[in-house]
Amino acid sequence: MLRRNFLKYTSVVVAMALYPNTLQASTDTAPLWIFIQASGGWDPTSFCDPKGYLEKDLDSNLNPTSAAMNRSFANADIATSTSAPAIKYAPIRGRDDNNVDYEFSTFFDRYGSELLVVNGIDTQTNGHDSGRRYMMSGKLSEGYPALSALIAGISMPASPLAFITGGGYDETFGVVAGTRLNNMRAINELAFVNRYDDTRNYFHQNDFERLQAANAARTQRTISNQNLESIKKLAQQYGLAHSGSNELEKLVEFLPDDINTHPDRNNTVFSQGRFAMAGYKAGLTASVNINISGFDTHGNHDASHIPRLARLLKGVDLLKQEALNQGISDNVIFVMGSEFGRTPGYNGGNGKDHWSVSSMMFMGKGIRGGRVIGSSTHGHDAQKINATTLVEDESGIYITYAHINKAMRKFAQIQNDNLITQYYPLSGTIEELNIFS
Amino acid sequence: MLLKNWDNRGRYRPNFRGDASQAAGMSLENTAPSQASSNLLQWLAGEIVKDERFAKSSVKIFYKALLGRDALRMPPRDAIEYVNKLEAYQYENTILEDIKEKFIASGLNAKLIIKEIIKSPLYRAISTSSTNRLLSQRLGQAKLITPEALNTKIYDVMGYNWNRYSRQGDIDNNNSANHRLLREDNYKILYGGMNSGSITTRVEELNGVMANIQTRMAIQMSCYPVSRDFYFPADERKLFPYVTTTLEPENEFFIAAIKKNIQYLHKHILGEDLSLGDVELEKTYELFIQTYEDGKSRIAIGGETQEIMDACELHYDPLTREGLWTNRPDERVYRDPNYVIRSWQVVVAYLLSDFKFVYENSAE
Repeated sequence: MLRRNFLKYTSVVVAMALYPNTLQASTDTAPLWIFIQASGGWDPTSFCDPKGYLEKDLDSNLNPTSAAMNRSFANADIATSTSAPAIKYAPIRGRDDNNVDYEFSTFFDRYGSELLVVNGIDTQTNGHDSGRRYMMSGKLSEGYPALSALIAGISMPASPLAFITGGGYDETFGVVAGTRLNNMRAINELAFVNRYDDTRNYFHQNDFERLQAANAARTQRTISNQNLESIKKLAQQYGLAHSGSNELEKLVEFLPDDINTHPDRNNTVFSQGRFAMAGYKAGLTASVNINISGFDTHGNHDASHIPRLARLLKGVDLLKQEALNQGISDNVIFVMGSEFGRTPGYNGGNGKDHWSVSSMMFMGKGIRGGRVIGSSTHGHDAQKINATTLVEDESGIYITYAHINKAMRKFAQIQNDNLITQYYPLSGTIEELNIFS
Repeated sequence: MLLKNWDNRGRYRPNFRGDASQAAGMSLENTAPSQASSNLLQWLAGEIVKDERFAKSSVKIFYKALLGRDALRMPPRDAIEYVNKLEAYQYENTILEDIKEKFIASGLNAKLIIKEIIKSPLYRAISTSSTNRLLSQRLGQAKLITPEALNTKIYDVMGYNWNRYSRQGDIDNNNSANHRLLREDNYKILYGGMNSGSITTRVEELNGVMANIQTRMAIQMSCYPVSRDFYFPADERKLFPYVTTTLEPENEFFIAAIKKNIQYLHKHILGEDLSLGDVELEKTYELFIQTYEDGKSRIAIGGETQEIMDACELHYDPLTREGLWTNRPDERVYRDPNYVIRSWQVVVAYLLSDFKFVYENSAE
């Protein structure tokens, strides 16, 4: 049974309570939001807020000591992208998923003019869970959905694949159902649940349709019979999820043929993003959470962390090209962030620990690129900015994830939606920073 | 101080030695004795356990584990629907406080928490007379079963695992490495599971992909596993103790046997105690009879095969793997001239994909 039929049969009032914007149409030109979470705490000083070693950090053999901000490059060698306007970045490279070097210059030269970098963000925590939550929801405390879920829930509430998630902070709190997609073979099977092979089905089509109708009817009876809201609500979720099951077939139509054979299929960012782009092209997906882990490098930081950054940057690079190939490059927004940064200097195990200053990067539809907002000292302490002019100002404010989320909500044009104003407002004094335009 | 290297903003500062004036979740008045300086963590653990809030937190952790939802917090005064929220909170909190007291009195026996929660209306309720919708949301239990638990439940009910090779060629059905719901490259992650690496949280709200996994499971588990069950003597079957592969609804006795088996299946698969004549039993019988009549009529006009599809066929002894063609050909399960097996397959799929099978629940 199609989802809209289920909604027709279910009490509209009840369905609206579950999915408050179920009857609100989504617009065709709405963008695809790709949120990339570097899980573990990335080190902005190794790419978009570069801090190299200084002369005073060198030992007698001219090797950088553990006091250096970075051992991989000198401060004097910090690079500037060839794009216009230019963006500063760390002049390094790292091995990608195919064990091939990816130069950071490739990314920053290619996309510097589109990139918006926000440096010197005061993350206000160095706990993993709280940091992820704060970055993705704007709230340090529990109870708020991820922005990616809010965008999907508001813009495409009736789609079963509106919000695709590969992990990270992806709490939905019922505003939308998060869906994981990471396995082409399995998706193919699930798009055609009754199919045995290319020519045969398990059940005769009559039996299959009879089975589906009987299931839907029984679900309606189950819902009607429940006196407890706790059970009724889940039975309704069950009914809604099953009513949209045919739409997976549409997704499969738009998946690239080489999804299982592409040489970079092991790049997490790229592979998860491709599923989302197919969902977007099928008119089913509004946002995706991509989680790339391995950034919590308390030991051997340079050897472990820099390749992770390379994979992330290359993944975005590949997705940008994919969007171009798919004809949707003008409609994609990238949001890249991590729960916090990493400590200045190295610990005894050549690692870097948790540090509550970080950066985020944005690019895509409607974002004015080639800009860096916010800054940090050489020791990676956050600098205050003027909330109006966004330039460094000692009497200004520290940028926090609450500011970023407030600005993103406005940019996504969801700040006045009832779901936001009634249930998930960002309360307290949070200055409105005009970050994106 | 255990947290001596962390500053007031929670940042790691190796030389920071703490600030006694800072507010903290746990009272800093209770400082560690000097003799505990070499085992501060053990000292702190002992202090935490003495705190009443430890007992309450323990109750809340088990509550979440058993019911899949967090305990309510006291609503702020300006909350929407404050009165209803407060009533729901107070109702739930009174029960949890009572369990906490019993937990402390028991000498912190965690088993007691589980028993008390399961005995409470928070877990067992199936109905309420309250008109407070928010309170009603806190009563009874319904929780999507995790992939691991669903994997186990399927086996318990069917006597057979949902395996990548769930057909007669499957010689290693109990090998969990092949269980679809346990494999990351199969359905484990898609069905909301974790890998404790890149994915560390579960999906607790059913989505379209997970719904399709449920349907796929129901269809595949009603294929070979149904034939396999029919292979065994009636008194050894998990699913069909009252019928045979050739028993058709031709007279009232046979119809009674079919309904009795349907009644049994509702109990066995869904835990439902249905009386003969119950509307749900009749609906399931309706599904059986419609499938049977439609299939039989297709066979009659030559539009349908008289055998079940080969993926569902049984030609080997499921226990010994001995081929049955030569010595025991009649024990094979593959012929279905009157569409009986296939009708039962649809019934089993219907029940396996039901809400009450894939959710732990106290639903009516």
